[in-house]
Amino acid sequence: MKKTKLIFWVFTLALLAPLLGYSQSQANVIDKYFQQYVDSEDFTVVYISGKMFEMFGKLDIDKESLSMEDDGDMEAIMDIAKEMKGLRILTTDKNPEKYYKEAKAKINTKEYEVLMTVRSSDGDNVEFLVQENKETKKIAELLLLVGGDEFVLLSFVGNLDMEKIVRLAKELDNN
Amino acid sequence: MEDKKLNQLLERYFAGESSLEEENQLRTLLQSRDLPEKWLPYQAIFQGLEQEAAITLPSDIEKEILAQIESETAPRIRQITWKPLLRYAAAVAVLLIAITWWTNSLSEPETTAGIDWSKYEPETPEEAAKVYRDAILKLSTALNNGANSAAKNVKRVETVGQFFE
Repeated sequence: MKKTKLIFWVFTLALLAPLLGYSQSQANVIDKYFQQYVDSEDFTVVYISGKMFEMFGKLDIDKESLSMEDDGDMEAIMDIAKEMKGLRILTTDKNPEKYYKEAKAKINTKEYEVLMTVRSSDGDNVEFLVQENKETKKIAELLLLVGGDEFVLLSFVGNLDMEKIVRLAKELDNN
Repeated sequence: MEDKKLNQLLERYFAGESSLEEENQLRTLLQSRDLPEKWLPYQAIFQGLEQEAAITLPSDIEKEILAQIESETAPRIRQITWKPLLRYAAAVAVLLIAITWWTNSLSEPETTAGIDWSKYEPETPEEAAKVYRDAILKLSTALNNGANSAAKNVKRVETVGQFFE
């Protein structure tokens, strides 16, 4: 009888263990879309941490060092940098369409809202996805997915003001 | 002599120790006409037994009875023991939760708790700033392309719409 009880509890714990692990992994929601790409040699990976973004403010980065022509654009870029907590970039020119489709399928649309999907005349597929911070009503993560000649996955993490980003985009377009 | 023999045979018969030969002897002795009176009750008993043994049932009735007996099954005794049942129910519940989680997790992407992102960081803030600039420019270009594409489509829709007015 004791043996049966022991087997029962071992069995129960064995089944519950992955559930515990699952709930813990939920905290790291951004990373979960990237792992298999990060580990692949086909990808170029770049990461800029929140601390690095903090350092931008302390450094004397001028528009020349960033090859920017307009002071206003430079200021706008650095203003957005203040709201950044992390930037992850993944790119590859190997099987770009395959990776684009794969990434689209992997990203959970319950967590990320599709902001815009564009198919350009030169055949590039572009998709914007956002995850809103429900407390601040700002963007917690902005994803840019590009599939075409190259696969690009940009992940902007922070407390982002979408209006500022759109304003900067318009300014750059006018210039 | 006959009395002694009968007595012995009867004793063995009622003790269940008599052989078939002895039983035949006993039957023969009890059927003799000059049987003393004291043995007559035994004669009656044996005659009765002989008559009963001679009775045979019609074959169809016998078959019917046998068929009825065979068709009857022993009553089932059901004993419900709740403790093991509850245990099995709990095990099934846990199993269902696990299966639900597992099927859900199949549609979820893999977790990446183990990525060491620091090794992908640019070495200097200046380099990092350039990477950030390129990323924000790419984002802006894509946003503008999307907005322009949307504007073009709106114009197309308006143009097509004019034909329907």
